[in-house]
Amino acid sequence: MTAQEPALPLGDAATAATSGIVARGLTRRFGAQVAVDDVSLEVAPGQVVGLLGPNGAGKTTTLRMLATLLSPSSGAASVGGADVVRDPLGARARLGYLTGDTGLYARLTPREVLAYFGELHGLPRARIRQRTDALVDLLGLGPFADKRCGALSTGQKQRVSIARAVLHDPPVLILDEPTSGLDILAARDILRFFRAEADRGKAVLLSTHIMAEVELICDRATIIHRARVRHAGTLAELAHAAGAPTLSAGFFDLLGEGDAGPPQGEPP
Amino acid sequence: MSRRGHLASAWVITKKELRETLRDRKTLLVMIVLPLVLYPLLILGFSQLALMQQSRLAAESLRVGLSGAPPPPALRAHLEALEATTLQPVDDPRAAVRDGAVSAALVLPDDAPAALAAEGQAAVEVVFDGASDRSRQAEERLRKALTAFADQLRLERLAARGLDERFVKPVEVDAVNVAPPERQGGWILGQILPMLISVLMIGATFYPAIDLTAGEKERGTLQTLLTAPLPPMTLVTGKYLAVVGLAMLTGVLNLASVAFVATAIPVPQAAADQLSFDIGLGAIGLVFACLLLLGMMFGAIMVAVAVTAKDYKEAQNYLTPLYLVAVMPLMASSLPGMELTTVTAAVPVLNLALAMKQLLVGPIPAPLLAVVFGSTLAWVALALVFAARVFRTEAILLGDAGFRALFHRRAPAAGFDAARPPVASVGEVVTLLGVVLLLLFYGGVLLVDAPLLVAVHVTQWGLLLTPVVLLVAGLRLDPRHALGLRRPPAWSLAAAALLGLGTWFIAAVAIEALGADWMPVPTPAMEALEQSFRDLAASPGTALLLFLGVALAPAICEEALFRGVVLRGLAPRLGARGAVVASSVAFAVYHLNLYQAPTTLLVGLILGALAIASGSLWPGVVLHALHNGLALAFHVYAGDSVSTEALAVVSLGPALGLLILWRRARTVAPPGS
Repeated sequence: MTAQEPALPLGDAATAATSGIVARGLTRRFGAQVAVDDVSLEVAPGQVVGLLGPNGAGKTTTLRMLATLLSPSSGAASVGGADVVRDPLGARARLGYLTGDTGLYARLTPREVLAYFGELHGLPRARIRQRTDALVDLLGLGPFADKRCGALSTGQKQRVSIARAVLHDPPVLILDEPTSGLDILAARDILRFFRAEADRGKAVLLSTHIMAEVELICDRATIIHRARVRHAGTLAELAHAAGAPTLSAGFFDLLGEGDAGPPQGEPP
Repeated sequence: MSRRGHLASAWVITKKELRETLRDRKTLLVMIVLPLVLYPLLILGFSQLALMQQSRLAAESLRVGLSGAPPPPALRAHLEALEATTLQPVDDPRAAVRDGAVSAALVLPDDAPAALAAEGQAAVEVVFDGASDRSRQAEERLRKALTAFADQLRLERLAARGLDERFVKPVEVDAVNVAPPERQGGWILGQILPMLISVLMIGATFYPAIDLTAGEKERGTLQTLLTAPLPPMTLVTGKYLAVVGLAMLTGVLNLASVAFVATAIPVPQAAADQLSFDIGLGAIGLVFACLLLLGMMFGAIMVAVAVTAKDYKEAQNYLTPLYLVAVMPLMASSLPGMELTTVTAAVPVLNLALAMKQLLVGPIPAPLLAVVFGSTLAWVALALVFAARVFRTEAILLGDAGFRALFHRRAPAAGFDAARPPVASVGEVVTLLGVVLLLLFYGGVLLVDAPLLVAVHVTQWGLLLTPVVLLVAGLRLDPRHALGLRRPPAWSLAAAALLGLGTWFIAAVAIEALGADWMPVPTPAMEALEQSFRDLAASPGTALLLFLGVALAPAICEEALFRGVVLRGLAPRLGARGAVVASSVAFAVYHLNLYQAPTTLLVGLILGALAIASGSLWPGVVLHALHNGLALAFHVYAGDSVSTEALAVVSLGPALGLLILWRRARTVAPPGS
């Protein structure tokens, strides 16, 4: 599927060759309220980038624009080389999108859910079977792969959702607080899975408000607060900018809480 | 992804929804077990219970009071002959009945025996309590005895005078029913079935529609589904097909169950001789088609409404009043004298109920049936486009916006390439065409008795141009792009003028040629129309209005619709050629005139090509005005006085015009590429 569709060249010559995620000046207004204001970011293949910020900072809105669920009021973005506004179907084909509150079809089994989304992505039968078997092994879905989803625990459900998100082997993964509701061990397993996916060459954007998750798997982070990007860089650069030994220690400084001035970070 | 791919994806969704729904035990219970088990139990059980109750009442011993003068012996004998009835004298019959001392009472005035003996008339009272089953039963028994007594007395009186019973019954009526048993049976079915089927189909679509739309939102799976690479119309189509499928399953099962129960109810022999429920296969097929269309209609409306709700409860709140509104046309269908006419054939839901009612009695004229089916499909299409629009309206889907968000257009596309041509979208074009088609149906009905000039002008400016203007204004489209209101190149005006000089003649010859051996032209209607044209053309004032209405108004209004919004809206999606063909087909269909369709289609193709090649609406307006105007002028002024051979010369104009158009069209890139 992904291979059949030619990647649409971006209008911007500088980013034409870039796959992964590119966002330029993304802005979204809901009426008078600005939920996301001029957010730019970039995730190269092979990288995990953290989108870090407190609740209500605009993380989910940003991710929804990248996932083509919301259209930007202004600005532009591409996912796997497909423009999210001009070619939303192309962008979705190249994208695995996962949230912490993803629902599953309670009366279908995990295997059936995977087969369904495989078919919606236009994968051939044999490929669906092969990917499903591989993911059942990799994510340890075996014991409950043929039970109905309604009977699964939160952690089991989330693992099924992950399998669903990566089934079509998309080059880009967008994760919106994928560990919410999970215990520490389950959360760590899941984060390691995504780190491994990035090492296989995928571009991974992880939205979270938990510093430790960023420090565990991210190469870079973009800190967003009150709809705007405050800082962006490698974890070391961010810690340095805050004048603290670790990112966690300097996080509040980086948020610029109480500082109503323009964002201090240079977007990548 | 190809179009075929979209349909295949819709089918994937349909299959999954069906599987998931049929796995739900509660759904299975309501959809399948309930009709198969409950109806027979309910109906048979109830009818048996009623029978039992009736026979119990009939056998129950009741006390009946007698008051006033003592009854004559003959009457007394009839009263005593009543089964399970005890007679007892009462003083105050009203009080006795009211208190329940007796179930009913017979009051004979004191002069009654004397009047009867003197061959007069006795006025007697039967006192009973209308709110008591027992008292009603007692009243019935008293009447029976009184009637028997009166019959006997009448015969005695007649015999005493040597008269036959025919003396007091001079007319004997024997009603002869010419309806064959099948029609009679069909009529009875027609009283019951349409209402039953329709109510059934509303119920059958109600829960699937909610479950598959608002239900999916509530369960948090919709957002995931929306990240699948499928356009909104594919999602809506997939879900809609599942709703219709489930509704049909429920409907057919229910119907089968009711039919089974009905055969188990005994029919009196006398009625059975006059009734036959053997309906022809063709009628059954058509009734089934009505059932399917009802399911499609209710399914589309329910899906369109339920999809705007954010959860199950809200959807129920929206749909319940809709349910009631939908039942109203059904009630109307069972009114006596309500029949399928050109008016009712276009009223949604009512038309299907009436069609079923009439199909069970006999065939329906094909054009009427076509209007019924056609208008229903138009409504279905409208509802689905609306639902797809909701699926595209992100704010509603994510549950944080009101209903109003539907009517806002998305912010201008803000991609890297922001130069999206500001024309109507395909969905908007389909919506507009649907609205105009419905307006034409209803407008045509309302204008049927209006003077010709009024009808022509109202249809053009009101029913065709107004929706176009409202759409362009409402969506804040730039009319230069959306309609092609640009300055035309000089060559295009020349080509339009040359074409317009002769296309009308070619069309007239073609219609005549086709009509001769393909489709007979309805001459009387045409001649009446031409005569009224001639009458109007006779005086200068009405002639001006006539030419404005028949030549200029269509040139502006029809061009703005078909070569403006429709053609330019479809071009980016279908390509220039596809858009020209599609807009011409719409143009031909919207003339609602079968025998004109081939020529209208052809002229539409030329007008479309001209609009695309010139990038402007105006050459089309010129050509269209000349075409209509010259055709009209020829008919009203020249008539048959000019020979066809002489006129054939004007065909040179179109030939030359086409040549110019052909040469230019090759050098002009189609829009949207």
